[in-house]
Amino acid sequence: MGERQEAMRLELRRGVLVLAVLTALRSEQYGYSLRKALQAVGIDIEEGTLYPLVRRLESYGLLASRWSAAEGRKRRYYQISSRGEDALTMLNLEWQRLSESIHQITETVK
Amino acid sequence: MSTEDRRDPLQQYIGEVKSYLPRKAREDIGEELKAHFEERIDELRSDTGTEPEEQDVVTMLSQHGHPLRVASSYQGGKRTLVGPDLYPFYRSAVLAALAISTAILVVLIVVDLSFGLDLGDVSRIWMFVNSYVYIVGIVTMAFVATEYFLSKHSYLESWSPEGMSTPDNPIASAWGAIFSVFAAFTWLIILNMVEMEHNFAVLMGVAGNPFHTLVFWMQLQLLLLIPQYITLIFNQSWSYFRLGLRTVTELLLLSGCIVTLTMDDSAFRTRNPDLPERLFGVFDMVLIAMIVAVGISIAWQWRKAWPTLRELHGGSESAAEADRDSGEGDGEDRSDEYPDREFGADDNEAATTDAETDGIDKKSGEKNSLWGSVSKLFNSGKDRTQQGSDGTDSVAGETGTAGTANDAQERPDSVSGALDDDAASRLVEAREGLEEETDGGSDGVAHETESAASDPADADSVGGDEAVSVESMAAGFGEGDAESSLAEDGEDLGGGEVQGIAQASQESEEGETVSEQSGDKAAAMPAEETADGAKGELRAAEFAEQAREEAAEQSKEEAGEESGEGAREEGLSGEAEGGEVGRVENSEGGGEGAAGDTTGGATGEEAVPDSSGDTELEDPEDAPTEGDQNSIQGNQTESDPAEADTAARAGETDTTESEVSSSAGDSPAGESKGDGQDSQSLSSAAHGEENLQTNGKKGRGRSSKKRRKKKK
Repeated sequence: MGERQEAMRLELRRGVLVLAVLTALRSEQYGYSLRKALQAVGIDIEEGTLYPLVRRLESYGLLASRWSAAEGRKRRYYQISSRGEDALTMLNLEWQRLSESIHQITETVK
Repeated sequence: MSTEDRRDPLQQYIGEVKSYLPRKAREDIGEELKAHFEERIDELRSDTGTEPEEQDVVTMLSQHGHPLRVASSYQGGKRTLVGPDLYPFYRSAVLAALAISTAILVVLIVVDLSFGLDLGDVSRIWMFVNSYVYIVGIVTMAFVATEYFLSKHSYLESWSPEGMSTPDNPIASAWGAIFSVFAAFTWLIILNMVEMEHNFAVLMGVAGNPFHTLVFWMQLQLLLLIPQYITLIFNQSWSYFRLGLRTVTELLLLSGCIVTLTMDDSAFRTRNPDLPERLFGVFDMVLIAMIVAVGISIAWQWRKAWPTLRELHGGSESAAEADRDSGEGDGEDRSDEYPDREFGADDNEAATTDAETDGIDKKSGEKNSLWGSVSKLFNSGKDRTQQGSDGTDSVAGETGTAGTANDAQERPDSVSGALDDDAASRLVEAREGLEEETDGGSDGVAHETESAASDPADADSVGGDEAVSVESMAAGFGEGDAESSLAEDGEDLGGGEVQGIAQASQESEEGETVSEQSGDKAAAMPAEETADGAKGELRAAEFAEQAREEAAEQSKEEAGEESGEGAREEGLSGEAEGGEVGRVENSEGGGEGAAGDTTGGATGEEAVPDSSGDTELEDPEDAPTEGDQNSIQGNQTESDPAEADTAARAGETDTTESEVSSSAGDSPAGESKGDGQDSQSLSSAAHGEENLQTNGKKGRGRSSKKRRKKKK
């Protein structure tokens, strides 16, 4: 895969990262566990991308966070807020529309 | 951070990242990063089953990215001084400015080396650095300010294609304008590096230093030129103001060159004996070259701009003239709109509007096409009339252009059998009167129907109901008149209503006369009435009154002399045919009649109003309203006696003009109305309009068929 194709792939994935993160954070997660959860379903996101993204979503009010000490280690936990739920609903709808559209256009071209 | 921590690559890394972060978020992000890396180390430990070595940690941190990049990724908000929208222009502007400044500085250094000049305490390298810093700083600030302005006012978000400017003959491209702005800025900055006084003596060359004098003039020119370049970025259209201002700017430099060239610099030379004589010789040559260059520049600008401006201005004059001639409905002197108008952004909108109303496409360069269309219509009217006179290809209604006033004047031999000079002149007057009375509101319709009236073939371009109704109305009039065959006057007016003539021949030997006349009328009048029925009726009413008086006199004179039997027969037959059907159809044509009366009365060509409509009149006061509605809407489907009355009134008017007459002075129709003085005209009206209306549909059908044939 060429550089341009890789860039296009990353650009496409970047667009849905917010949707993935918000969905994953419907249950409380800290950064590392969130990354592992996403990785487990095939969304491998770089740490340098994930952490800033989570903090940005928090600054938008879409996530709530708290520091908690567990297993002898201090961790910052994130969870989706009510505002984030609304955003997630909207993004889900948009995702379904896009998916349907892509499906239709793919079928049409066939 | 302890000494041990400093040796710990993880702590060092986190400390580095924190140092790039804002103080506010520094600790929080650092803690989170630390927690994250500890998780990763635990993962490594669990994967390998051993304690990770320092190298493993270093590898892990390396994969995480440079601390600067990591810290940067946490910082939101705007992260560029000049955004991606403007950056290409910013880059080219910086490069252009640097390139120009370099070239200028190189020239100065060459001059310095060649003539042993002392450029002061400014070293050559410092001149470069100084100018570059100035230039890059100014360019950057200009773009940052522009970016801020665009963002603050959401300029790039709240735009409209209507405001786009794509002039046919631009002064320059937007890119070129940007380049020019910064080139001029660069030049100004470099000129400002010259230490000199700025006073009137220097400006007028009295101070004696020719270099300072020239620089002063150049600075003035640039101060005037740079704002022009800046506005050029947003609008590249020529205008008289722009051309004038640009010429003045160039003349300013020209003046500076001449002043410098002619000034007395002997004192300066005396004070600076070190300056070589050939330096002044070269300087004079440069001045002469500049004078020539400025002259060429001015000439080039005028050559480039003048045709566009003349075309635009000339187009507006023609349009205004055509407006006056064609009586379009806005009633505004549009010639005032153009002179100061720029042929660009704003004009696109204006051009669109004009195109909508005038049916012309300014963008395609047909700025004079309105006048051209009028001329074409006249010509086509002649052609059609000639065709019709040959009896080869004409339906009554399709001779439409014959109905125009100008054409009537131009075709005395074809129409003026009945339309004498007086009638023609009145026709013109009436047309002008109609124009005056026509106001806005129905502007577009006025335009459309105007063109439709003048040239039915163009009715398609008008499109929709107007075009159809105009032609069908015209056809209705033509055939109706032909069948009415009132006239006993056997003059061949040379009209083109073959079918009308044919039918008229069956019923009256002189049917052609009226048929052709009315055909002409019919083509023109309904269309104009469609443009503004209410106004037309008002106009018609005026003419009707006038016509009554004239008709009364004429009928007194002629009624007893000419028999009018044929007409009487036709009148009777018209009435007989009329009845309910005639009434309905007549009313159907009421709008047309009303339409016809406007122009017909105005043109003085018409001679075929409908007596049945007149006799059916129940409430004349309603006529204008009804007529207006019908005529404006082009809808002739409703039966309304009032409209018929309007038509009849118009017919009365026209009768006096065209003398169709001939003879129908004692028409029963006229008598039925009990208006003896109108007997002649009313009888004409009776047969004309009644038969016209009776055959209105038939006429339309034929007209349409004929028209389709023509199109094929």
